[in-house]
Amino acid sequence: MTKKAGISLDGVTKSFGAVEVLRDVSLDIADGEFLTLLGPSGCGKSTLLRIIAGLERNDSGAISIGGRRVDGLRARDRDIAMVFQSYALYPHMTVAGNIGLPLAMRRMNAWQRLPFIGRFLPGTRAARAGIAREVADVAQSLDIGQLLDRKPGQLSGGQKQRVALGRAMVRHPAAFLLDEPLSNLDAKLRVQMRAELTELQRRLGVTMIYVTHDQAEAMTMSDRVAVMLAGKLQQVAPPRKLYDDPETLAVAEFVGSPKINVIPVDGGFQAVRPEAMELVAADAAGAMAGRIRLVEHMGSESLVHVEVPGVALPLIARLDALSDRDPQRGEAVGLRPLPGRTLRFDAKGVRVRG
Amino acid sequence: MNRRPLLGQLLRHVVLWLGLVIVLAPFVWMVSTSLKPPNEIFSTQLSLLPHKWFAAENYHKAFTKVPLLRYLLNGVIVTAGIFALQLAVALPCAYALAKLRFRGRDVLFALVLIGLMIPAQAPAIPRYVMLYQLGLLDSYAALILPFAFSAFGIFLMRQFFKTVPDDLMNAARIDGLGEFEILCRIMLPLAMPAMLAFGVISIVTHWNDFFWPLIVIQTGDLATPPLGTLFFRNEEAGSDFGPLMAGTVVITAPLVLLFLAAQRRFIEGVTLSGMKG
Amino acid sequence: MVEGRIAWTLISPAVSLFVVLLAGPTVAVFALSLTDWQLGSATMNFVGIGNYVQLFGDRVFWKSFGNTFVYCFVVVPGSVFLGLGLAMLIEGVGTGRSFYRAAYFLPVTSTLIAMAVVWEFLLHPTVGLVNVVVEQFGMKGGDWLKNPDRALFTLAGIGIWQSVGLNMVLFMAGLKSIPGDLYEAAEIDGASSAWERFRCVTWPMLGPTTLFVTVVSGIRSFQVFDTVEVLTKGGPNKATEVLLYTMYTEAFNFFRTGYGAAITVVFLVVVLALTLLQVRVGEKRTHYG
Repeated sequence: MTKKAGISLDGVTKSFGAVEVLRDVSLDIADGEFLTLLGPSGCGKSTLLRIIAGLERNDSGAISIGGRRVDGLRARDRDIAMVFQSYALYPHMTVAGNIGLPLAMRRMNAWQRLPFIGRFLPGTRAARAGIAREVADVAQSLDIGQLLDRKPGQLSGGQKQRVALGRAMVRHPAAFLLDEPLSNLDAKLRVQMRAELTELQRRLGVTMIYVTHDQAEAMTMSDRVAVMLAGKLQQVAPPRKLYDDPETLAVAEFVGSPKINVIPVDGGFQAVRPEAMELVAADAAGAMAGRIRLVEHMGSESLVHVEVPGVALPLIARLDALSDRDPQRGEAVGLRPLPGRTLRFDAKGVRVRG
Repeated sequence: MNRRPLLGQLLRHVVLWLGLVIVLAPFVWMVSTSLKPPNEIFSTQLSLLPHKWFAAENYHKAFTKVPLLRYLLNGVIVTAGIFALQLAVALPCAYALAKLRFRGRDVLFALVLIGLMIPAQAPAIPRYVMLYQLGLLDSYAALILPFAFSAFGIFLMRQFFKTVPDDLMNAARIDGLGEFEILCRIMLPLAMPAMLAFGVISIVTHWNDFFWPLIVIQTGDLATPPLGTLFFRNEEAGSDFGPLMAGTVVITAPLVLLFLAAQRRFIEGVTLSGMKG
Repeated sequence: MVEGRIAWTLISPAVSLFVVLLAGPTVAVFALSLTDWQLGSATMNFVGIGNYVQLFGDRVFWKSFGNTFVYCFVVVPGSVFLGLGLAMLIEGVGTGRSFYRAAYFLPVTSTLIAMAVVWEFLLHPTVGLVNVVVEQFGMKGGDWLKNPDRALFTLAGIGIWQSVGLNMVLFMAGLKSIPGDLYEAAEIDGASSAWERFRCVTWPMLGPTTLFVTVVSGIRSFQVFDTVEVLTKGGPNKATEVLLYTMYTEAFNFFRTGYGAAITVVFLVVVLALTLLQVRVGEKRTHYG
């Protein structure tokens, strides 16, 4: 029963004073798509989200939600919901009050909303009962039904998160905007909420724009990821493609941990993912000779840092735990990219194919 | 870990109790005297409780000699009027200074800080002249209007509004609240503790203020509690101590009771105003 | 910009009242101090610094100025050190902390004028509690308020009684903000006695608080007026004449408005100087972001 609505951005720009935060951002998000805006802090992703929400004005460009131009509209008229990093729950209201407020603002007139007096006006009782029912349904579906009478101060981080989601869900908006919603949770809960959020989005089938700097979140949750660097969209693609087939060196370097190995060559760069880097004998054919500087044992894998003459940073090879090699610090070894797994970029960092 | 040697603890309590005897003596003696007949008051025998209870006579005399209740009522009217006006002026201003972006904001805030530094007695003469010219001397207006602007109130509320995260307001905007409703439904309920602190300061200051009522009020009927106390004292010519002490008990009781009922808020509030000087 | 318009609507009442009630009158005091105006008089002449010349040649003014400073120099150290002592005693007490705090704080909130009347009775030369107690110990009490050598110090004593509770809670707030592990560190480093811990940790950590409390007490006691008006009227023989009292009598009893304004200016200059000192101190403690 959710309205589905695509969102499209066309040439959106924004400056704060002399600082250009967004440069000509164009993006089409399909109905029911889960799109993640991924980038380091300060890249402009949060500003973009706030412009879509109507909390900031874009300097130029067009924004439409569900085919309707919304640039001139206030936040409340854009039919979107937003979940904030700090959750932004009203501390003086109960959970039920928090979740119910958006409905009260839409279904009851200013008189009916008045404290005390409003209670005695015609229609108030029915409206309140309807709201209470829907709030209870939403709370039930998020598994916070037993918390409705608590205040936010009495809730754990995960519970606050659910209340914030409930407040967004209750009025069935055309799109959800989420601004780093998991960054205040501890690591374990974050992994759990990641799965729950994805599940929720699939169930509701609602368009979701999700802002994060955490690539694990971006890669695991999204249909598509939009990588943003310094106010520019670099590439918009499904997670797998973004990792395997980056358009620019910057994207290749930003996505993936440990970072991709970059080797300067004539007229550009070659880049090889650590797992595509084979650890061989120092004198093997086609191998770069080097010396092991550090071995990080991670349990399921080991990361071998190899210093290679002529390359500034150590190159990293990922070694499966099942491998029978046991590399030692100081050992002389060779590094060789697996065939067909080298990405080539020109001097400007643009991908060279073929 | 706090180790508390028994002897040290005992010593602290003894010293503190000795201090208390001195600090609280005026209060105790005031109440005690208000219960005694004249011959016991003028005796050099010290005793806390009267041999012959004379409370009814003393308090009756206090209430009939001067309109004590009227003084208290005036105190309520004046402090309530001042605080209501101060809030009405300070809240919108503080909200704008804390949360809205506009030209001249920093200059205005600097003016508020300068306003904090000016002692209440400095603008007294021109204020008096203004009221004189408007024909408002010797009226409630003369007691209330000059204090409508409270730099301290604006400062305190502004500092509070600053601590409310912007995202809370953004969430409210998305939930469909207008700017005015954000102020009423979100900001004001949240600001309750700060408003109470401001209220304590404003009420204590103006209930106890003596300088200004002394200047602008001539009529006994308009006297605030401190000024009324002075009228009473002058009436008595300083000899009939029983009723006089009964009067001071009545005058000091409201604030003392309020203080005992809400100690924590009082101390917090007045500490804040101590910060201001 | 819409936001700007909303903002100015919200602040305009405050701004106009600021101009009419505070800024305007404060500037007007300076202007009036340069005239010979008397309230109700039809003529107002510009006399330049005439009022100030007269003021600085007036022995009563200097007496009043000096008395105010003597009063401050008794009340400030008295209430600051007693306040600090009380704060430390109470902080170290196991039980009854909030009781002591409330009891010592009581004089701060009670109506000073009423309490001044009570003090007048307590200090009564023959039947007052103070002299009755003093004479129990075989000493002569004498007259506390009518003896010119003593009256100012009596008022200062009442001033200390009234303000020590405020300084106490300010110090208690300061003590709370000293991290407990500093004391543990000091103990490990060999500061074993209570005095050494006070000297090495408490006193230096309280430094900003102490400065601040001192300045605030200075400003408050410089504004002494209530007890003077009720108990001594500046007497006997100008022994308790203080600055605000002189200003009050000149401006509102004799209606020498211009002259009163000049005294106000002197008063304001001293208070502002003290306040600027406070701001300097305060900036180290808080910043208004």
